[in-house]
Order: sequence, then structure tokens, then C-alpha cells
Amino acid sequence: MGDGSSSRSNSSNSTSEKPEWLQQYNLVGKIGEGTYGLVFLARTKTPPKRPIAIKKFKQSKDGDGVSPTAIREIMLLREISHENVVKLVNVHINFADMSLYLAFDYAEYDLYEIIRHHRDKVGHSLNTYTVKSLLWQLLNGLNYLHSNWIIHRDLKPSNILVMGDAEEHGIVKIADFGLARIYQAPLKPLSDNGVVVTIWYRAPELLLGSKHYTSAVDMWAVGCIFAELLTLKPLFQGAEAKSSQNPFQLDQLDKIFKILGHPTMDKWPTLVNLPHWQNDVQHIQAHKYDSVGLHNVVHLNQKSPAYDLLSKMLEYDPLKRITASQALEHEYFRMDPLPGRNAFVASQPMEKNVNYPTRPVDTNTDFEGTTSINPPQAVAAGNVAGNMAGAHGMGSRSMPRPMVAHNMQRMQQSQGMMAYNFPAQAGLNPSVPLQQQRGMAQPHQQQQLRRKDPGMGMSGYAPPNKSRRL
Amino acid sequence: MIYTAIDNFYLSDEQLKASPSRKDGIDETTEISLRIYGCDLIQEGGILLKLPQAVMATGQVLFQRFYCKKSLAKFDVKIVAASCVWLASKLEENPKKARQVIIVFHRMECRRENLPLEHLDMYAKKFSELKVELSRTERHILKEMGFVCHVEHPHKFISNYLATLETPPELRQEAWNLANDSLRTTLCVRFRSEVVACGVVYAAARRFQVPLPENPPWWKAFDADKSSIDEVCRVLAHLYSLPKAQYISVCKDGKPFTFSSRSGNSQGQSATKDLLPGAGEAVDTKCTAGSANNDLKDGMVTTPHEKATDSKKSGTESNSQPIVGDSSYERSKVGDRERESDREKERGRERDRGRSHRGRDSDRDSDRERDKLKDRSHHRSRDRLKDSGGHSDKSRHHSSRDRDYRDSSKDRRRHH
Repeated sequence: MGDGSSSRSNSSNSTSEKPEWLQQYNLVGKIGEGTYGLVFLARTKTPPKRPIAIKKFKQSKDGDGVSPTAIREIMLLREISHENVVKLVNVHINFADMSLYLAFDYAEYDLYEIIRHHRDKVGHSLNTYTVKSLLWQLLNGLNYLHSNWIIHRDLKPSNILVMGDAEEHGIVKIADFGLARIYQAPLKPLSDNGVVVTIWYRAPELLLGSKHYTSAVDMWAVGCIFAELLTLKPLFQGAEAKSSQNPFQLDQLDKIFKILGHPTMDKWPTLVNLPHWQNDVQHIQAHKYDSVGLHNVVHLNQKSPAYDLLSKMLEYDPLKRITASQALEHEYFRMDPLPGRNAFVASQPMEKNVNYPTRPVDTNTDFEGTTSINPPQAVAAGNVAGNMAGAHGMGSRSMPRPMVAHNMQRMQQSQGMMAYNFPAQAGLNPSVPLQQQRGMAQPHQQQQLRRKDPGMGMSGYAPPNKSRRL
Repeated sequence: MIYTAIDNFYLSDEQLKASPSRKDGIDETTEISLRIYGCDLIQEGGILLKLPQAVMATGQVLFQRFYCKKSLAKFDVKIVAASCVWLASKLEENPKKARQVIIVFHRMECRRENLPLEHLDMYAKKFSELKVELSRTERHILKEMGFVCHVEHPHKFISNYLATLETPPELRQEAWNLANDSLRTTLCVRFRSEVVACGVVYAAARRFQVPLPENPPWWKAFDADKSSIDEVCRVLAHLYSLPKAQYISVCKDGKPFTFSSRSGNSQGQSATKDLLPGAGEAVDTKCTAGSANNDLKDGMVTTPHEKATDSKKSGTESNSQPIVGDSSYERSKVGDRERESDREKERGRERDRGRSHRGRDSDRDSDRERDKLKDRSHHRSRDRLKDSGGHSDKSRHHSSRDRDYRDSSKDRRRHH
């Protein structure tokens, strides 16, 4: 009702029509930004009104057309379909300003925010059921990717989303495929892209200059995430050395060796082949490491199945590192509590459920990305707020979420946008199964929030500049 | 599976005959010629941009796919070829700047269409418009592909197939050349790359008279069928029988696309001259200038021309040396003849092919030589007939090129 009246008043003020593809959405506001552009929250107008994350790829400064990252992400997401992988709903092309919009099913949470909430607000760890369910679902999605010759190459907590929607509440979604690659028969070595993976989650073979990317680099990252879910802080929090070429990451290796001990030829036969191993001889082998032991850092009994699984994920030798399919069969997932589809709420709860906060939404930024000078006009959105409250089991809000009518007016100035709806191409392209899978990429959100909290023990962390790598 | 989309982008020959360009009134001959021309641009442009061959291969496949969905009348072949090689450079991890692509395609246009070589001002309005057009076309390509641009090439299978069949090493280069040339045709949108690979292996084996096992048939081990292999060979033979592809403007709005900013002016001038029939001296001067330019360009064009000729010659040789007594080849011939008889529009070519067949059937003797000469003479005659309908300037340039072609042919024969 309110939306209708807003729409009518806007149309009377403007002579241009809203772009056709945007008319199917109600824009809510900005929820993130990053190297490649903004991320907006929207909602579909037609029932069922489900939340959508719209990720905008802006034109690069050089005017070099669609970025290879966007093409790659869309190509892969168009091919894959899995409950634990983010779902790309639509791609919209704006021919007027050459921008590109990706519409994803919206995910309310990500592991980064969940861990931060437990560390800063709750004060204690995630319960065993939730950790196990999150990990199992992450491995389930990763096994699907690896089975299709896709390595993600940027697994970290902020890229692991969890759904808040009623139907898919608590389901894990792997997101952000901008660095993902098919490694079945690459025409070039994958290392030619430069070093990828955020440094805290980077496998030791990559840190030592390996040119051979395998799915094992993803499994190391999962091990780091597993430990972080247990301890609520990054396991190997090193400072990244920046340079134009592939630099020797001494500090990150130092952080790893202090916990896991120094690698040896006995345990890692191919270690001598790695380019940076000679540097290691000069810088690290001279040091004596009193390894504190992984079990002491994560506070796990060395004989427990959880520790066994974690240590196999953090195996130095990538050839011996556990695979996703092997991990899914590990004893850790066979003992009580068994992992479930809803990672937040067990079918027979043994502990009190934790209610996580929703993402902050900036309603002052219009769709073009400029901050509005006028104050936002609050429009009653009781239904939406009610739905949100019901979905998350939270108490009613003191103030309803405002809808910004100003956004709509500015949007109408855009012309020439074309909507590309995949179902229309059913004849020549495979239709993506219409499962209700949702999710969105989160590096932008992470970047924004980390800027807000510089003193949270992450002062050494610098967000990667992806454009330079590509 | 990951390659599902590719397996869905295959069309039958009948579907291709009902292409968007056909619906816009462009005849089959013109569409085939422009597809070849666009692929030539992608190949040469990729070389000038110092790109690896995989980029040009991917670009040509995207080009062929795009014109299965969009009309040549609405998307000019030159800008689509430029955007395809640009997009392919991104997909194959060798991205090039838009500026580099525009400079290369502008230069190729000047050379191929006898326009004066001009400095491309990167701060002029024309350059900005070209960049916008390049990006716009890239998005159209991505949209029509549904953002699924995975490409598999027959080259990937050739080495394995030849090794499995234990063939002599000279077949590899021949098959590779045939695979490169197949990208100029619509084979990549009609057959899986494994089938095209079997087709070029078969054609190479026939050229070198290498027997391949037929009991059991070797192609079944590679998941291909004989009729498809025969069609691959037929399409390649047809490709080698065609004249060198030229640019033809088929734009619906009547305004041809150009990278050059002077092309429009020169057209205006020629229009003015047409309106003044009494200006005989001016026309003569233009011819002289054109001739001079042509001489200069001939020197530059020789190498790529030789390359093209070598490629065609390779194919021709492959056709002209059938395996004597090969029953499967005879069956193939029968099929070819039947297909030819079904096509009324290709009567002229049918006659050509008929003569070629007779020439091939007989032993090598003076009769065959005379047949060859007749074929070439007839071929050129047809070209001249076509050109006489167009602009006189164009006609003269073309005939001049024809003369050069004849001279180089003679040189080659003498060399042999």
C-alpha cells in the first residue's frame, strides 16, 4: 500500500520510466561496498516476496568493458547448482552506463559476523551442534565444487554465508566466485593469476611459492575456518607483505610454524621443490620454534575426533591433506550431536539458541552509489518488519525500517537498462533448477565493517586489492 | 555437470539455414562469406595483438555462436569480431586493453579496404565512440551467450587421437591446420569438438593416404559417427573452394560500420564525383592514386596472402589426392553428389564440383591441367561479374588484386 503510493508519486514527478528489470524489486538500501561496486538489499514485489542482494559491477576506470572477474563469476554460477552454494537469480545489464547487476538470493548472516557476535556480545563459543553443522554444510558444498573441477581459492569466514530466510533458515552458502577456477585442464598455470586467497587462510604450499594449485588449498582454508569457529579468532593471523611480484610471506609462515611446528622433508617430501624454501632456510630454519601445539590453541583433546579432523585439514603436505569427500565421512560427523540442515536450531535443542543481529542497511545511498543529501523520508513498512521479526525470532523493533522514496526518484533517471532473464533462454541454455537457494557475496560487507572496527585485533590485516591481482 | 551449457549450444544444418541474418534478407553465400571474413579478422587481429592461438580459437567460436542468435544486418561483422577477440582475451587469461584492440582493428580495416593509413587520435570523439561501441557489443555477446562462454576446441583431442591410432607424425600438423580452418565455418556450432577432431583426423589421413582401421571402425572409439565425419570433410572442402572473403556492408540502416574517421568523407567525395559525370580528369587522378596505394599495399599484403593461399592449397591438396580404391571414399562421393543435386541455388558450384570430380577421377595428365585452368578462369569470371554490379572504383581495385593473384600463381607454379 505504502509502496504503491510512493511509486505513484514518483512517477508523477519524473518523465522517465523505471528500468524494466528494476521494477520487479523494491529497493531497501545499501548493505555493502567493495572494490567492484556496491551491494544493495531489495525485495521481490511478486509473492513470495523474498529478499534479494543486488551486486553491482561498476565500469572500470580504463573503460575495459565487463571485468573478467564478473564474467568468471557469472559463468561458474550459471553452471552450478547446489543447496550449499549461493544462487545467482538474475543478471541485469545496463547498456546506458555499461554497468552490470547480479541478483542473488539474500543471506542475512555470514561466518565473520557470527564469530564476531560471539566474541564481542555473547562471550562464549558457538555450541557444538552449530559448529558441526556449519562445517558439514561447508564441506558438502565444497565437495560439490571440487567434484566439478572448481576450486574456490578465496574461502574465508566472510565468504561463507548463512541464510536467515524462514524456508532456508540456517543453511550455509558458499559465495564470491570471482577468484574461482576450473582446474581440470587449464590452458595456463593457475599461479599466473598471482597469489590469491586472503593471507590468513592461504595454504603453506602457496606461501612457499608453489605453482601447482589444487583443491587442497581450499581444504587448508576450511581448516583455518574450523579453528576460528572454535576459538573465535583467526588461527594464523599474519601480516601480508605487499609487492608487485610474488613476495616471500615470512610473517604468515612464522605464525603457522609457531603453532604447527617446522615442516620437515620426512613429512613433506616435495617441500624441497618449492621456490621459497631456500629463503626459508635463511630466515626460519635458523630460528628455534617451541611449537605450542595445535591442540593447545584450539583447546581440543588430541585424541578427540574433532582434533583428528582439524589436524588432517591442516596437514602440511597437500597430497596428504584430507579431501572434502573424505572429511564428510569423518568420525567427527558420525557422533552426537549429528549435523543438521538448520545450523542454528537443532531438531532436539540441547542449548539455548543464539539470535544474531541482522545486517546494517544504509538507506541514504541511492542506486547510483551517491549519498543522498536530503534526509530520508520514513515510510511505514510494518509488514516487512513483521516478517523479519517472525523470521528471526526476535522481538518487535522499536522503530520500523524506513523505505526511502527518494531512491526511487533518482532511479528513474536511468534509461536503457535491459533485463536478462535466464528462463527466457530455455531453448539454448540449461534452466537452473528452481530450488529456493539464496545467498550473496560478502567481501564488500566485510571490507566496510572492518574499516569501522580498526581496533578489533585486526590492525595487521589489509583487505586484498583484487583489481591489482587480475 | 560443468559443461552442460556447451552441450546445449548445437544446431542442425536446417536451423542454421534459418539464421537471423537469413530472416533479414541476407543470402546464404553472403552470410558464409562474412562469417569467414570475421574469423579472418579475429585470427589476424589476435596475431597483431600477440595473443596465444587459444584466444583466437575461442574468439572465433564465440563469433560463430553470436551470429546464430543475432543478424549480420544489425551487428556489423567488424565490431563483433573486435569484441569477440577482446572478450576471448579476457576469458583465456590474456586480457588486452580496449585501446589496443581498436588500434589493431583500425589498421586492418585501412589495409583491407584501401583506406589511407591515418593516425588514430586517442583523444578524438571517434575513438571514444569506438570504445563505447566495443563495450556495448561485448555486453550483447555476453547476453546472447547467457554469460556461459566455455569453449572446447578440437585441437585438444587431435594429439590423443593420432597417438591412439599410431599414425605417422606428418598427420599432426595437417590435422592441426584443418582444425584451425574449421573455426571459420559453423562446424563448431553443429558438432561436438570430439566429432570435429575425428573429421580433421580423417581428412588428414586421406590426404596422406594413411589407412585407418575400419573393422571395427576407428571413429566409434572416439564417440563419433561416420555421417558427421563426412559432413565435416564436406564443409572443409567447401570452405577451400570459396574465394577470399571480402567485406560487404549489409547494415540495415544503410550506414556501414567503420573504424576509420575518413571512410565517411571518402564516400561523400565519391558520391559527389558520381553526381558530376563530366569530371573525367578527377576520376583518372583518383584511379592513379588508388593504383599507387595498391602497389604499396601489395607489398605489405603479400605475406598474409601467401599464408591464406598456403592454407587453402593445403586443403586443395587434401582433396585432390583421394585414396584409390577406398570404398568408404566412393560412398562419400555418392553422398556428396546426392547433396549437390538437392541444391538448386548452387548450380554454378555444382558444375564446378562436377568438373573437379572428373578431374580427380582421371589420372594426372594434360586434361586435368586444362580442367584446373578452366575452373580458375570460370571462378575469376564470376568474381568480375559480381564486381561489375558495384562501384567502378571497387571493381578496378578488385581486378588489380586478381591480376596480382594470377601472377603469384604463375610464380608458384614456376617454383614447383
